[in-house]
Order: sequence, then C-alpha cells, then structure tokens
Amino acid sequence: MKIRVEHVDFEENEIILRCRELDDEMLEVLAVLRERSAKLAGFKDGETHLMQPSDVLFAEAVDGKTFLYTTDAVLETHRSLFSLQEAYGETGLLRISKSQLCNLHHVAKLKSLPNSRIEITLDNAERLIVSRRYIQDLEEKLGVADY
Amino acid sequence: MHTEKLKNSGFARLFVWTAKAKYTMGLFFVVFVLFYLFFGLITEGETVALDFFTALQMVFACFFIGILQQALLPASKLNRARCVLWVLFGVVITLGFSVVFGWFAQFPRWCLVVFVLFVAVAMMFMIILYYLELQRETKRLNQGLEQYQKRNTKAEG
Repeated sequence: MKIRVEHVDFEENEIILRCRELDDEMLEVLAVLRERSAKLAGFKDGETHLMQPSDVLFAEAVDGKTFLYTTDAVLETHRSLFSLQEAYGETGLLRISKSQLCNLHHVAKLKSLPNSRIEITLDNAERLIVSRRYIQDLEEKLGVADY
Repeated sequence: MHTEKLKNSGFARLFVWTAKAKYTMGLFFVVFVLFYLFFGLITEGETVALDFFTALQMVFACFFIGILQQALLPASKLNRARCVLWVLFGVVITLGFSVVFGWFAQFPRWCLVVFVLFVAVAMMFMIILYYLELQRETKRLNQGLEQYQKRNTKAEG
C-alpha cells in the first residue's frame, strides 16, 4: 500500500482511501480511522486523552471552559456543549441545563421533583438536575413526551 | 430604564410571589361559597343568600391560605413537616374566620364542624395527590429510560 500526504489549504482535514476493492487490509484501515474519528479528545495535566463518547458520564461548562466527567477522571475539552451534543447526540449525550450535558446511558434513575424539574442519578451516584426548559427534550428522547 | 427598574424591584417580586397564590385562593373560595350555600339549602331551603361582606371575608381567608401555601410549600423545600404545618394553619384560619365573623351562626353547629373537617381533608388530599402525581411521573420516566437504554444498547450491539 502506498501512503501519500498532501498539504492543501482546506478548512477540515480529509482522508481519501483509493482502492480497487475493499479488501481486509483496507477494511482494517477504515475501521481504525472510524474509531479514531469517533473518539473524543480531553486534556489533563498537559496530556491528551482519547476516549469513547460512551465513557463520558456528563459534560459541564464552567467559566468558559468545558469539562468531561468520566468514571475516574475530569478532562477539559476545547469543544462547546453545543458542538458535543451535535456530534455525539446519537451516543446518548443530551443537554439538561444551560451548562450541562448528560449521557443517558449512564443514568441509573430519574426522579420527578416539584416545580417541574427532574433529578438524574448517574451510575456513580452523582446527581444532576434537568432544568424546566430541557425537560421536553428529555421526555422526547425517552419517548414519554405528552404532546 | 424605568420599566427595568420596576420589573426588578422588590414590589414586583412580591407582587408576582403573591399572585402565585391565586389558584389555591380561587379554589378554596369556590369551596367556601359552595359549602355555605349548600348548608343554607339543606337547613333553610332553596332561598339562601351569601352577603357581600361574608364573601369578602371568605376571600381574605382563602387569600391567607394561598399565601401560606406559597410561604410554607415552595417547591424546593417541600417536606412532610411543612405540609402538616400548612394544613394546620389552614384549619386555624378557616375556623378562626368562621367563628369570629359568625359565618355559620344561623346554621346548626354541626355545619361548622363538617366545614372545617372538609377543608382539612381537602388540603391533605391536595398534598397527597400532588405526591402521587410526582410518583407516577417518576415511574413513567424510569420506564422510558429503561426502554431507551435497551433500544440503544441493541442498536450499538
């Protein structure tokens, strides 16, 4: 296989695979590329960590910075909450308040609270609150919305 | 600028806070009037009247019950002790106004007893129904969550 790198003035990096047919070698390369592009980059102590979006329990924006919370670490990301939800919404990340996203796959239970709020308890027993404005989105995602 | 000042003033906040009591106040006022007229119907016959000043006193009593609900039962501080306090105060206000202003003076004594008991039971039911609704909502949400997690685990698998 020949590998060639072209330096061009594009806004976004692009990888093009040219092949006569998708053999095992090409499929393997494709799988690795897909896996890398689906991963999320987080930064801690000057180091970059790549993680699966599914590892993120929740994300929070504080003082103009966005932090990703996993089961054993807190990492900063350069992405905004909006772009995280746009890119990884299908993996379960959902906006629950002005400053938080939550991964629905890591929610252990929900509890309806007075004043139209919902309390989320995550797998690690951390509790988050879904603010009134985002309750409709949560209910639609879960398929329990009343229209 | 003056509008903004007014919007954020203490008066505006107090006004909005007080206005939230209107639902409870309205509900209780209807109950008070209906009970008064009902007692009149069964003890005196079809011709029964509620005079303006008695109605006004009822409005104030219901207003105080509504305001107490706002003060004692804000959503963020809801607990059993506060609910009990609200019911107790509600009963005291109802009984107090009834006795002081003689709402049921022309009716048999049992009318007052039944009225106050009904108000107490109605207040307790309001709270119980509210908690039952929250529990129902919680169950519905968790069922939805379970389905969502199953669906999406299958899709990823």
